[in-house]
Amino acid sequence: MTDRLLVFANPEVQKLLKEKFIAVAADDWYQRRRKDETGKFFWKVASQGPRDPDRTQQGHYVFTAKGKLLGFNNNRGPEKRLAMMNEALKKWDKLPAAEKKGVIPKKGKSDERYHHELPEGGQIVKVFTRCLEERDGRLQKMAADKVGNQAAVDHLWFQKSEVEKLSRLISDGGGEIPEWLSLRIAKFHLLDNTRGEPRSWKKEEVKKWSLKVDGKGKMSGEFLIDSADGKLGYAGKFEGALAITKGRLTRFDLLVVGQHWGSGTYTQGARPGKTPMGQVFRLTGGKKARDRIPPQGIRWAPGYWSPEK
Amino acid sequence: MVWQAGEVILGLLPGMIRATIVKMKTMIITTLACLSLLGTQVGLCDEGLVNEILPSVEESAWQKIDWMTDLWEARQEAARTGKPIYLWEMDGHPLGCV
Repeated sequence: MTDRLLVFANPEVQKLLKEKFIAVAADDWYQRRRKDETGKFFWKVASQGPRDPDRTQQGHYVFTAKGKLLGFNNNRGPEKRLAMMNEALKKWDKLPAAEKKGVIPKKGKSDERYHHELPEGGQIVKVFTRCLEERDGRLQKMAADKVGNQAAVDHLWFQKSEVEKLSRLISDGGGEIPEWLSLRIAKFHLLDNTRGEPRSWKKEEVKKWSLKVDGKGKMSGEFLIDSADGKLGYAGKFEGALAITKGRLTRFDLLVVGQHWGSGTYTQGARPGKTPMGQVFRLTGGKKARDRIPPQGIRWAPGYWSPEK
Repeated sequence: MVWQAGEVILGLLPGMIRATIVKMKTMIITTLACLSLLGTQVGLCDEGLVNEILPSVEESAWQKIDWMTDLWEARQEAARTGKPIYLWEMDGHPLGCV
C-alpha cells in the first residue's frame, strides 16, 4: 500500500513505467510455489537476485523477456526505485537486439493449486476497508500520511450458480443470506487489511451473525466476531442493497460499519482498544486486470467456495 | 431546456444566494434519490460515509499505470514490443490484498 502511494503515484515513475517498461504485478505467495512454465520462468529471474531461495522473493525486478535480470530492489520511496529503473535501462540499452525482441511461446497449462481465475460467468465485488475516527460528530477518514490510514482493497467472488440462488431468495420474498455467502463474507472479507495481510476468521469466532435480504433487495444485519482470547475482534452492522436481473448481479452495495480491535502477525500497529472501521462492498465489471485479482482468502479455494464446511 | 435556463439564471445571481440555492438543490436531489430508492430498490443513503471509506483520488493514482497481472503474458508483450519487464512482486497481491 505504501508503494502504491509513495512510488507508483509518483508522476516520474508513472511516465517511465508507461513509456519504457511492461509493468506486471504478482502475488509472490503463488508465484514462488507454482510448478508450471510461469513458475519456472519466475525462478529463472529470481535466482539471479539477492533473495534466499527458501524465503519470500518479494521485491521489484527488472528483466528481459528471456529472463536476464537487469535490476532488483525492495526499498520504498521513489528516488531509490527510479535509480534502480534507470540503472536497469542503461544495461538494457547495451544488450544486443536479439535479447530485446523475440517470440515467446504460448503459455502452457497453469498449476491450478497456485493460479486462480474467476469461474465462467462469475462476478466480482470490490471490498474497500478503512480505519475511521469520529470527528465533529461523524465518522471520517484519518490523515493519509500514516501507514494504515489508507483504504485497502480486496475482492469478493461469486459463482454464476450462487447469484442465481440469491435471485431465487429475493423473488421468494427474502430471508437470511445463505451460510455459504454469509461465512465467505465473515471469514474472508470482514477483515482489517489496512496494515498488511490479516488472518481469516474461524467459523467458531463468528459469535453473532445476521445478514438478511428482503424481497426488494435491501440488505441489513449485524455481527460480532471475536477470537477465543478476546484480543482480536470486529462488531458492527450491515446496510445495503443488491439487485439481480436475468441471473446477473446488477448491483451489490454493502456498507459495513463497526468497531475493530487487535492486530495480527502481519497487521501490527493497530490503534489501542476498539476503534471505528468501515467497509464498502461494490460490484465491478472486472474489465481491468486489477479488478480480477483473486480474493486474498482464496489461497485454499475449496475453503473459500464452501466456507461452511 | 428548462433545466439549462435555470442554470444560466443561477449563474447570474450573487455568490451567497447562488451558494444557498445550490446547497438546497443538492439536498432536494439527495432526498428525492433516497426516497425513490425506498420505493423500488433501497440504497445506501449515507453516501458521505461511503465516500470517506472509498479510496481518494491520491490513493487511486497508481491505477494510471496499466498493470498486467500475468507474468507470461507480460513476457510475451515485452518480447513483442521490445521493452524490459518491471515486476512488482509481493506476498499478497500488490494490487488487491491490502
